[in-house]
Amino acid sequence: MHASSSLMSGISELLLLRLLSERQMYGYELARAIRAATRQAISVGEGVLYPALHSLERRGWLKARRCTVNGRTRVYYALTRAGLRHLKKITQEWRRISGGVDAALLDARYA
Amino acid sequence: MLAMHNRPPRSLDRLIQAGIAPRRARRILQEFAEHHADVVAERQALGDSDHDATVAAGARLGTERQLVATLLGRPELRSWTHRRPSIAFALAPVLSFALAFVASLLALIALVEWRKAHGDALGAASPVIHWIGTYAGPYLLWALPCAVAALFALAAARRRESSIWPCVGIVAVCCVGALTNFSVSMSPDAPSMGAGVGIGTDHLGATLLRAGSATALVLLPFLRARWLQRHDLAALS
Repeated sequence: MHASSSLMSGISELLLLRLLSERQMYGYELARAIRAATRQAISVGEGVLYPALHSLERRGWLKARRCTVNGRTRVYYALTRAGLRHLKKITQEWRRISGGVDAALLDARYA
Repeated sequence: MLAMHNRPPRSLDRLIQAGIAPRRARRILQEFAEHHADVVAERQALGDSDHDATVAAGARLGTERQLVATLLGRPELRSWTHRRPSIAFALAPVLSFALAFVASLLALIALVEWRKAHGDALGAASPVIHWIGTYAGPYLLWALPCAVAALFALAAARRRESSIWPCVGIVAVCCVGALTNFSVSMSPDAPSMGAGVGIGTDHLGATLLRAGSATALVLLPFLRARWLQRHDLAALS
């Protein structure tokens, strides 16, 4: 599904922080991880990852580290402590919102 | 792969002009190019031809133009120097010069004390005092203000910032630099150093001449460099 860009920016922030909370990754790895984690339900232009990653880094939620692997320069991103705190906060918000939407969808009156 | 030399140079310039720090702008474009190369390799490994792999990579990543447009829509990526150019390029140079001046004086005092502690008599004939008398004055009164003003002007030029605040910064640093003084008294018994900042009516002409010549020394090359930069950008667009 191609979601609207405003919705996607919030979702992509949540997904990026969630995936990076498990291990550090570089952009291409992250794009693959998003597709795998969402069972290909969410498809975003992979180029959009970089503005999001740099924005998260600038806000102090991610830190970047440059590495050379097999002659290629990779920029690995990892979650900071502030990023972990922010992830917990937005995860709770997401659960509350999605729970509300689920409740509305399951309500027989609106079916 | 979107090799660096194939990339439209305008992308980098547009990002820097929009206030994204040069290092970050280069890094984003580099990461994008590396990602493109990874997707092409992935598609080729699945049996796509070079052309098909490149098309598929373009479809997955989007174009560099789209990337630039997305980046320009994110104000949080703009550096603080772009958001506060008056502080970064006018106030900060003056404060930096003041700090550097004081730090240099402290370093000179430390040098003298260190030599004293090692038993040097430090009379007028002492090589240390001679060295300070010869080089410290030109360094503190000329080289330091010009270097500080030039460094900030260079940073502004790298970031393609408007020339107004860097020009204010150059004039301010050179004027403050012209108000400083430094002297070494070579009396045979007890040589001494003196430094300060202030303006006196008896040396007003010399102070203005110092301020004017230091300003010209930094400002003219800066304006010339900015003119060439604008010329190059106009040729690219």
